[in-house]
Amino acid sequence: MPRNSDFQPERFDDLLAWLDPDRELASSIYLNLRQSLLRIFAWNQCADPEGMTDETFDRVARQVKTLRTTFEGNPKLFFYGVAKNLVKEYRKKVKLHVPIEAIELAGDPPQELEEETSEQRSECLNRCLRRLPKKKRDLVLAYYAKEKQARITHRAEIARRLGISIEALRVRILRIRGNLEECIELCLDEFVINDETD
Amino acid sequence: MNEKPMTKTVARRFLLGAVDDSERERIESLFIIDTETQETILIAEDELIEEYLEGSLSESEAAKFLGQYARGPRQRRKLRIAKSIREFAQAEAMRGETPRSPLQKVRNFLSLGWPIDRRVYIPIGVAVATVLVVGAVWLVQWNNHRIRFNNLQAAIEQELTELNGPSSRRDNPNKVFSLVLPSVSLRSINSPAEVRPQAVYSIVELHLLWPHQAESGSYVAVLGRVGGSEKFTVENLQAETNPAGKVVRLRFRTHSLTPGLYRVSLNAMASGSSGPTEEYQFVIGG
Repeated sequence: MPRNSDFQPERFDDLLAWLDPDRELASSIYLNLRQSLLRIFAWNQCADPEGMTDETFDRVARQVKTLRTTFEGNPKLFFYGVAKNLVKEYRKKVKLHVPIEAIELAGDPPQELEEETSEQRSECLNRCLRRLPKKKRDLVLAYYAKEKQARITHRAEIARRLGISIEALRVRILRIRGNLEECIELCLDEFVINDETD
Repeated sequence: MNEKPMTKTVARRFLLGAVDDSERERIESLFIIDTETQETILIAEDELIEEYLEGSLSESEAAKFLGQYARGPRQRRKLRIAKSIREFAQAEAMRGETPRSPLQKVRNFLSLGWPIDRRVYIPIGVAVATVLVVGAVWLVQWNNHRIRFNNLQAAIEQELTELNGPSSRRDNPNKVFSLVLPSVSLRSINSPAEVRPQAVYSIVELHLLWPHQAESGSYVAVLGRVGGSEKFTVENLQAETNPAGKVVRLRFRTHSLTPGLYRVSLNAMASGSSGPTEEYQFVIGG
């Protein structure tokens, strides 16, 4: 479910059902779509990608009952259409506000995000690495073990040892790192929440 | 929709904000629906982050990168996380490289220029393990045998010392088989006398004829089987004169010696120094 919205559970169920009749598969599509939208808002230099992703899902959810019978094509494209409109709205707001105030006034106010300490980051990294299966942990650490010129031959050697192409290795790493980064972010969020309540 | 394939170069330009609006929208919509495009872009992004952290982006690329990736707090956090992962991995790798344990050195040596397929090492490993196990078993058995042999040798020597001690020499037990033995130098043409173990006696007493007239303080006998490694030394033997002449008595139990030809080397000792030596031979029958 979106983190910062008043999303109603039945609407969310409808939204999942529209993405795919198989609920498990629909959940996986939803998570992937969420990550993709977050990136798109970030690439478009929106100040609050999270909030705008939630807003996208809110807007689609409000129409989902109708959409299930009327929309033809890949539902993901509809989400992208809504996101594109939100980016346009955001840019319009930025243009309106820039002459008067600083850039921070534009759009919805971004969620405050305190900078974590390096100890917190290190603890979250350790915690999340431990959660990874050993094979994946060893692979991701080996992949990022070398820098500059050395990393090219080092990664080619890893791919050769695994019997896969370098591209396939990159994809494998992408998935592991994606999960790892998500875990670290959630862990750091917890630290921030705990710091605030202390 | 234009279906141009997504290349790494296009992805890189897109990520650095160097494409026009229509191209950007095309790429974004592909990113949403096409897994391959998604992977290509994310890999290109990972490489950009890597190059930025390594400092290998050109000045203009670095500026564009920061414009795209360091604007919001969440994006800056993502960059810090990416940096942490790489730093941790590099530190781990360095820790793994130095110092290496002897086992790691052997592993590294084996991996250099050798087949990577570990299955190749299985039969070699099994053979080495078998040799090691057989070797260990043999070593244990050999050691046990050596200990048994030494213990037996010590026991026989102890028995000989007791049988030939001053108090025992005065005894004249009934079940003693006596045998007069001239030295080899005296009876070289005769075959050695034979002792056949019998149930009626358990002790054999050799009367070793001593052909020398000079008086000696004591005698040392060394008894050993010809061709065998075991040797038994009996010290402080005394000479006495009986009807056969001057003799040195040497007693042993028949069960202590295995069948075969035995040689006794008798050495006269006078005031701590060695005197004449005589040799005697006899056979223990089977």
